[in-house]
Amino acid sequence: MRVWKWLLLPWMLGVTAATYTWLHDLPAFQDPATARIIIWHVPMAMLGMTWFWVAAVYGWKYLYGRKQGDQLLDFKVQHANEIGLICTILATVTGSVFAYRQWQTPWNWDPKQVMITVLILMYLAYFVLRAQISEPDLRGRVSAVYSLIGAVSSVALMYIIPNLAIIQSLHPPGQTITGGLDPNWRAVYWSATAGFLGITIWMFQLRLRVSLLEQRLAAGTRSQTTQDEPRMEAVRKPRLGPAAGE
Amino acid sequence: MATSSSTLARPASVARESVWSEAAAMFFKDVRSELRTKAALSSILVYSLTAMVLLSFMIRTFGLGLTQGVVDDVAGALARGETIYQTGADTKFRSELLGSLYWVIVYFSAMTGLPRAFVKEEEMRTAAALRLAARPLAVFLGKLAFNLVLITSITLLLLPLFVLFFQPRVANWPELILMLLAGSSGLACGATTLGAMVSRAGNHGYLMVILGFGPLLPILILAINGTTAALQGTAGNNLWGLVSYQLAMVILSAGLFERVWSD
Repeated sequence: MRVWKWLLLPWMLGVTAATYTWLHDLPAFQDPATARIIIWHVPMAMLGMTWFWVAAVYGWKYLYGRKQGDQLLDFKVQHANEIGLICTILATVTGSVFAYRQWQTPWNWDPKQVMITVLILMYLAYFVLRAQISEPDLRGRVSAVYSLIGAVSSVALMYIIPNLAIIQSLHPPGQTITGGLDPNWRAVYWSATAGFLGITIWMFQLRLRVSLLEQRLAAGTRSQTTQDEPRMEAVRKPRLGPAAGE
Repeated sequence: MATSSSTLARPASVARESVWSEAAAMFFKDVRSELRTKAALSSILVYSLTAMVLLSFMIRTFGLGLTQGVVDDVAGALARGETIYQTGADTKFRSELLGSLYWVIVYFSAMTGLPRAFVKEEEMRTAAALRLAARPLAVFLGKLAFNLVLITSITLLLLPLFVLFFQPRVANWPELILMLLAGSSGLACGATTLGAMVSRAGNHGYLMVILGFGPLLPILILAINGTTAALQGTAGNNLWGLVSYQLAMVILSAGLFERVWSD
């Protein structure tokens, strides 16, 4: 195991402690203490988009790269989208909890809220699409294409449409995190983002290992009938031995 | 004799045509078969007509706050003894309502009809022959042109019906027609590659509606805003945003189409 995985737990404990003890309340909010949601909510939204784009890059590699049609790349597209979906769902849930304290309603049809719901639906549709196609190569290609189209349109959905002049949003414009927060808040915010990035990378690796093991397991069960796996041969040989000797 | 080696590789009699002429052949083939059966046209048209009739009597679009507004300065008007009602034009709320209703109807009906272009090929078992006969880009361009013509004719047929059922008081007719055509051609552009994906995923009717939702939503939002602005006669249409997103979608999906289409 890599050392950074051991560091994740103390790191995130440190981030949590800093969030609730070291950081001061933000008086600009109606409920200043709950402004700490920034530390949990914003990294989730950012990482969701990041993972959708990671999926799109793997999708591109699956379609056009050197290892074109490699099933490992298809697994990577799938799991990156899974993690992106988990992150966007968590961003929506944390946002709703905050909105309930801040504006007394968990849902107020804010454009970014609507758009992230659209994003969730869009990537749920990705998994629906995957479930419809049984042939692995075609499934990989079609879902990689959808992943690419989805990633491109998600930029329009998340960053262009909510910032149009015709649309009013409760969310602060983009530069709040980079320029608007004081240095302490920014330090904790980016530490949390780094920590969550580590956690999601770890999750991604674990999901990938599960998929690869499942694939090997499936290949193993098939080799019992076709006898193409050397290990299965080794198991069978002693049993065949006496029969051959007779 | 220099020509003999090249004719061996590709005889002049079966020399490939340009992508454009292949695409044109593709387009005219689809138009002919559509004129024969009218499957896509009738399904989209009857679907949208049903939805339009249903919505026009289920949702109240006439009355106070809709066709009849209230002046901004109610106290002043009352003091002067004038009427506080405005009846000359639709309220902004009504324009937004009608714009949204129009696009909801068009979205759902287009999503049922536009994938027909590819689903039909799989159903008639002509897809394999088409893969041999034409290059993927030519297939894409031909189907895109067909979908564009289809959705444009549907828009032009639907608009009089929409005016009949909802009776909007339109402030800017040319802008309205422009926005309707731009928005629906945007739907056709996005739906071409998605339609091919649906046809490869087993032709389930619901699939196109959920697949198209995310990629086509920016088009719908901009089209609804533009339609509302045209109905009200205010500035605020985002035609350039709409057209550029549409172009980005066409270029992206033209590039990716080959991966979906080929075996």
